[in-house]
Amino acid sequence: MDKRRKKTRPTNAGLAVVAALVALPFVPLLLWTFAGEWRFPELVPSEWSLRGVSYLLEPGGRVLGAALTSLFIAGSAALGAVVVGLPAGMALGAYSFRLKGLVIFLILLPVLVPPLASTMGIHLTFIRLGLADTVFGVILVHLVPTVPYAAIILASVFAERTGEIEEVARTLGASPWQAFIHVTLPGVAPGVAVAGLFAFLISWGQYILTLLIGGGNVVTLPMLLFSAASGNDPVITSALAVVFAIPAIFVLVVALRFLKPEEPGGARGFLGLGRPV
Amino acid sequence: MSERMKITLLLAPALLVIGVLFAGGLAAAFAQSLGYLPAIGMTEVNLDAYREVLGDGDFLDSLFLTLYIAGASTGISTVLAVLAALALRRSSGRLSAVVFQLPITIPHLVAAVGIALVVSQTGLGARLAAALGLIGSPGEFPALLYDRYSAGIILTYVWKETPFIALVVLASLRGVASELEDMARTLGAGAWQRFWYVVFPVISPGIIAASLIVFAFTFGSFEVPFLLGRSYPTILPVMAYNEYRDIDLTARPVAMAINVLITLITALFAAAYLRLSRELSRG
Amino acid sequence: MKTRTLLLLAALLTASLLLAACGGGAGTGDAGAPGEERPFSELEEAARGTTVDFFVYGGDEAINTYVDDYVTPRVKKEYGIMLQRIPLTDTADAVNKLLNEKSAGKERGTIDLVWINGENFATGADAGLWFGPWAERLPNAKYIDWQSPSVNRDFGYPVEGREAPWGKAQFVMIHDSAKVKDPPRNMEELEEWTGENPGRFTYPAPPDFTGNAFIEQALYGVASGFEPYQKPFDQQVFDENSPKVYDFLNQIEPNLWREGETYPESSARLDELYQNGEVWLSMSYNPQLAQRQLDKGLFPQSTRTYLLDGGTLNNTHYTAVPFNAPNKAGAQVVANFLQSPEAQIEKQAPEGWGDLTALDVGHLPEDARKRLAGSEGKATLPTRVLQENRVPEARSEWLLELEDGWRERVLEE
Repeated sequence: MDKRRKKTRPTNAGLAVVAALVALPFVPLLLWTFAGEWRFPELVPSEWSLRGVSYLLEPGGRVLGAALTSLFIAGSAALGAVVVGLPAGMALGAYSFRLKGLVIFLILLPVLVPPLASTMGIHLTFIRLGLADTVFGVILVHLVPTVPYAAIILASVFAERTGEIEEVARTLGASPWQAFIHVTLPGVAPGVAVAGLFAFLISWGQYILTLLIGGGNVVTLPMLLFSAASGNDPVITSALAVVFAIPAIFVLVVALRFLKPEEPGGARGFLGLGRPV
Repeated sequence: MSERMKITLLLAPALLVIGVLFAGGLAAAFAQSLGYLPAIGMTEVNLDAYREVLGDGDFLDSLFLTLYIAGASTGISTVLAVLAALALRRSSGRLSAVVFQLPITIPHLVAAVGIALVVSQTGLGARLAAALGLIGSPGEFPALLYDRYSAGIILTYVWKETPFIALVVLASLRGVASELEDMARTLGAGAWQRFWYVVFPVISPGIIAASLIVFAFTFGSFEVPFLLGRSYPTILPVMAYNEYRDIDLTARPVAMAINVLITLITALFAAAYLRLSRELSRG
Repeated sequence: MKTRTLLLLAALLTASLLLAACGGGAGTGDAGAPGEERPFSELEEAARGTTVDFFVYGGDEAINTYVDDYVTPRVKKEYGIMLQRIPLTDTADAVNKLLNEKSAGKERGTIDLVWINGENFATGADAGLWFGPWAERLPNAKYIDWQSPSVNRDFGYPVEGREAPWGKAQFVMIHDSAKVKDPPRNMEELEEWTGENPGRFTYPAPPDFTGNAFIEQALYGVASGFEPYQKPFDQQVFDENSPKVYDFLNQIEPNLWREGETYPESSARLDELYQNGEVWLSMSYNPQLAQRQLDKGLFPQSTRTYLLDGGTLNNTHYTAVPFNAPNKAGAQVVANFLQSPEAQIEKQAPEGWGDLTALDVGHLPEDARKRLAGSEGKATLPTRVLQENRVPEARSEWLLELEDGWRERVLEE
């Protein structure tokens, strides 16, 4: 009893330190968002203002449009990634077959090899096919980094299932398809949600792929953020960064409901396999 | 339907997407790197682009810089992650889960902008230093952005990747390692002995696997160095992009050659990672 | 067996995609394409109710505001045109995009109108990327002095009606008069000054537009003036004179900000350093920028502008219509509006953008002439002073070589 209590104090201190380091970049972001005037070496803005916020909320302003575009693209890419990744994950997780290693390697490649190379390669083709400068084209290239991720997460989900319940359903007279719809799918739903959420995050954070294929016509939040960050107005830059981060935090909150605290990130499930989003 | 057929159909959509968009793109990049660009009248296949790239001092500078940034980021993240995981393995799930997972979900650009505002010469850090009387003007604060050590870039990657590796380590620590460690304790082993002879060997495969992923990822990553890095020398992906943007289209094969080389290097890491995780799953 | 078939299928699909990229003829050579032949009233008619995609460098918030808050509602009201401003990080990206589209045979692009000049225009013209001629037929072309070589030649390259003047720029130096009583007015003095004030000066890295201007001024300064560079490119002349510039820039490098280990990526970053007081000199192509930033409270109140001995660079900037613009009529109507006296007056207002007019003051009616003649403010120079101290830009070929050389000989040393 005593030993356990002795151990929690340094642990709490450690946690506080880590938490402070994690929160560190957000401090100036939040301060600058509401800053009016903040010259060096003041520690807090000498004047506050809502200029940053009003820039975000400008009716007919670019931020709203870019946010909606980003949401649409990320949502579609997540949907696409799950629809494509679910059957693949099932094949990888529930079956063993010849060439499985090769298939895993092929599916894993886009997770580690930067999609930049393949996107530059396929750009001319996209122009020819009329896919460049379109939202649809951008969603397509976003599938490259998201599909493998979805497939691999779902593979681990399927790998952990034993198929017992499906067997029971079958003995009770259900067809394989019914067993899939009414037993398998609900069972993997949390995994599907996680896969979808991470696919969303990956697409949400994309910059160079959207820039290349979107050709400047498809304006997403990261493009606005990057443009602002290259300028000299920290108020606008910070406001955009905060807005850009919000859905990510939202995803975290939602994902935490699906992941048990003892298995943070579900990392164990797929051998620490994953991608630094 | 035979099982083989079933598996094929299940894998088809994913393999199609990856095959066409990814492999197809790489194949096109490879073709273009060999000088095959019929659209601008280049139909002769040759290795000129590779000769130019590999013989170019700029390319080697970029390669070294990219390796350095990836290596330093991965190394520092791994060490910090192991320390953090060891220190916090007994903390209750909820808060530590949030603390570790938050940076994973935050987009790289946000992290880059935030950290830049902390470490720049007029950033939060500099202002704190000024308040403590350590510096008088922004110029006296060390240059951590656009600097030769790419400090700002590495700090951003460390902030983002340490939690990721820490989660992996934590997972192992709370599993088998924990049981073995208890056993070792009852046998009389001291804290250091327990760590070195019991815990570390068990968690190291996971550490290596996670580090490989982080290395491969930071090697090929574009956004952060593009925003926080110098224009010279620059990392390989940015170099490829600059060549790609060149108004002189005959520079295109060079851009593609660099892309192919980046792909080969990261594919090597992907293969190494796969090998390792196969062994892990057996062990 | 089936997996192999699958892989084969994927390979086939990939191959066909590749072929799609390769097929078709080389998309260059649009020689003799006719320009605009319709009368302007027809263009106005055709443009009503349409959208115009205007690609503009997006790094200056004042320009963005001018286009979004003034131009957009006005063209909507007067011509029924929906103007969409598409920000560019670098105008060269638009040229690159058009080049890609031309190679891929894309007849219908996405850019209707683009803000452009100099090397970008020249490269595009060489590749046949610009629609035209059309610019000399605009109703407001009557206010433009098309006879002047600083208008009908863009950095020495013949315009031939393929772009319409939008504004003018002149290179000025900026200094903080509280810290710098007597700023350096030529390259020799600059060398001295940086020696006495290490770390207080730097310039944006080429190919930033302003950075290019600075090394061009340095070229004029150390290599005997601007005349040689008005002629076509001569390798011998370049090899003789460029080392002088590079040696000079390398000479001052250790006394620059961060000891010249890195240069600010853009003029926006240089301005940031100036704002923070890290450097005491800055520079700009916009003679009214200093006043504008001063009024916004961004630059210190003691900021003033000055010119270099022998005069500073001046150029015209334009709007051009790409060969595959989907809405050529709309683009021309917008370009015409941008050239109207009232749009030009609004543009020159220092509280907004402050960009100098492209209109020839002599061709204007009395009241417009008055409003465009003067520039107020303690941090600006009178128009007469600016006009009397102008030198022309070098031809693009010289500048491209100069910039490449800077990279190799100064940056990478």
